[in-house]
Amino acid sequence: MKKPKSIITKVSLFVFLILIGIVLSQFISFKKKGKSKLVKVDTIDKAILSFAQKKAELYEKGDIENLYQKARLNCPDYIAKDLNVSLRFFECNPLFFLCLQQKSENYLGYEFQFLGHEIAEKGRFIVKYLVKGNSFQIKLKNTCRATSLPSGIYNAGPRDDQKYLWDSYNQKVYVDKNYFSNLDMVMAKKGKLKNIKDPHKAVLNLSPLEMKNACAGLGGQLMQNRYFDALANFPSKVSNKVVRKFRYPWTKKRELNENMTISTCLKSYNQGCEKVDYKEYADFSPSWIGTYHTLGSMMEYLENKFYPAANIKVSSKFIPFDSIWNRNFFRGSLKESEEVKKYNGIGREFLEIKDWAFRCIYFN
Amino acid sequence: MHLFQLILILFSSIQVRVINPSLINSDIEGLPPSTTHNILEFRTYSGAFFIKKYCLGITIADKNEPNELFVYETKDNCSSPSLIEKKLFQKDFYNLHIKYQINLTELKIDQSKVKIPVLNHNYRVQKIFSHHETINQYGSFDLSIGLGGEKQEKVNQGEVCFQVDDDCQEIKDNCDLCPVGTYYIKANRCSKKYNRVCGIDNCGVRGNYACIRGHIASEVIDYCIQDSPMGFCSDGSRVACVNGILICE
Repeated sequence: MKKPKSIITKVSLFVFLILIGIVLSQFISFKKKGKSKLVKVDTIDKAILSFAQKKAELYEKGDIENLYQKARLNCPDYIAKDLNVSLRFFECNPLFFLCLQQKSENYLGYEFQFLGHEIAEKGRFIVKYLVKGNSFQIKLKNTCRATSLPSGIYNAGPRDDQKYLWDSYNQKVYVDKNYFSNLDMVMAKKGKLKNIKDPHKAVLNLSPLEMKNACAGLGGQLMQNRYFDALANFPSKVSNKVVRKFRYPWTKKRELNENMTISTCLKSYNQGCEKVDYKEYADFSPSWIGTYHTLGSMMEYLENKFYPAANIKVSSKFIPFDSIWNRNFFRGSLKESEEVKKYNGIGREFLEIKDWAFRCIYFN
Repeated sequence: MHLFQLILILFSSIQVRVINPSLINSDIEGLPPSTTHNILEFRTYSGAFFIKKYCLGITIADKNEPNELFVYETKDNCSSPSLIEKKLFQKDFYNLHIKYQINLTELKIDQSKVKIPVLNHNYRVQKIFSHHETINQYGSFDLSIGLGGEKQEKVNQGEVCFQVDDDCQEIKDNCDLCPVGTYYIKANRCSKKYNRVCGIDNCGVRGNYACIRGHIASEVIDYCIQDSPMGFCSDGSRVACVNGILICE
């Protein structure tokens, strides 16, 4: 009685093994097909295109693997080891790109030889390669530095009247997220990228003409006050062309009942925030469009087309968080100017202007 | 030249101009024998500061003979066919259909199909949840093949580089060739587009363009008047309209 059962068991085991074999053979052949698909590139043009995409992605994303903080970058000519900087600095950063660039690299079965780099008009970064006798260049665009100001109707200046009402319809406006840095200056002047001193730090105390020329070198204009007011003012519904104005970039409240904490220092880096590490390119005082240093941090030069004398954002690390000057719209002046009192409507002038940074704006 | 080498060159085009629209997006037939027609002009980057121009055209053969598709490089433009330029690429065909889209040119040559993506055609995409912008469909870069060629012309500072007429028709669009920044000026009746000037924005200062307040903010329809609220000046000068342009005087 036991024999037939064992025969059935053996047969079923045999069938089972055959089935397993079939399944495995299918799986193995599938894996092989997949692998060959990944490696094989039909023509050199596709390989070049794919390579360029990879390089552009690396340039744009920057240090997503946190190599800098892990001390895995070894290129002191380009990036010193002791920079107090946020990882955002490495996005669209030619120094980081060159730091990781090898003399030659194998990609999709082709040997890509790095020929060098160049800084072109408007501070654009160009890298050059050779593959199978074909030389080519990739012009990498800095898509990280600026963000767009949506079209809208805005009201500049500290007053609630309609005197400085304006709109940005029909304009494509992009604003630098951060201050203009020493690295930016090298790019604007098509200088050398090696051994830049403090490439991450903001350039300070330039004359208006120098600042205008610096921005022109990157294809932009010097930041203007009415655009800054637009990005600093918390957005609200506009009806009958009445634009409400808010004192602070992060709230609609008129009065703040906040003590100085780390949180307030991130909203506005002021006097008394020294315990909070001031990292360049960190997210201090973000605006509603994603620019930084809306209040606090450094003083900033803003070309004022409506009222030229009022041209310095005095809210900075030099004044307390609860100062009357630490609000949106109030401006000091690079030249001592009684006129600014009228502009601010607070009966006194801010006199101690020092260490002003600047940023650029782009009309495309 | 092999076909793939041709594609390699043409896919770095920054601009494709249609020379003969009647031969685009329809079957090519009924053309007189022994005639030559340029159809498309490809402008490519060649190195950082250079451009090259390539003309794509056809020569119609006598009855029952195959026609010829060709590409040659030129220093002029492709508006009229050149008989002296050396052809870089030639292919016989009986049936040809050229499909032209803004980012892609597709050639159906008898049974074969060739796609030429226009890699460097720029358009902006704002990515959601981040403030990075992607400039073209392949990412944020321009690709150029080889070195040398014609030096790319530049727009001079102070020159209008983007211009539309009162009916919003584009007359000029070459701000990409401006080596510095550009800015807007009010110089037409079009309510949708401002003109743009290459150079440093000194609007609002006497003797310069007026700054723009905007159509919505100013509620102005007929902008070209003395003290037009459509513009503003900043140094005590007044807005004036000269030849349709708002200036400060």
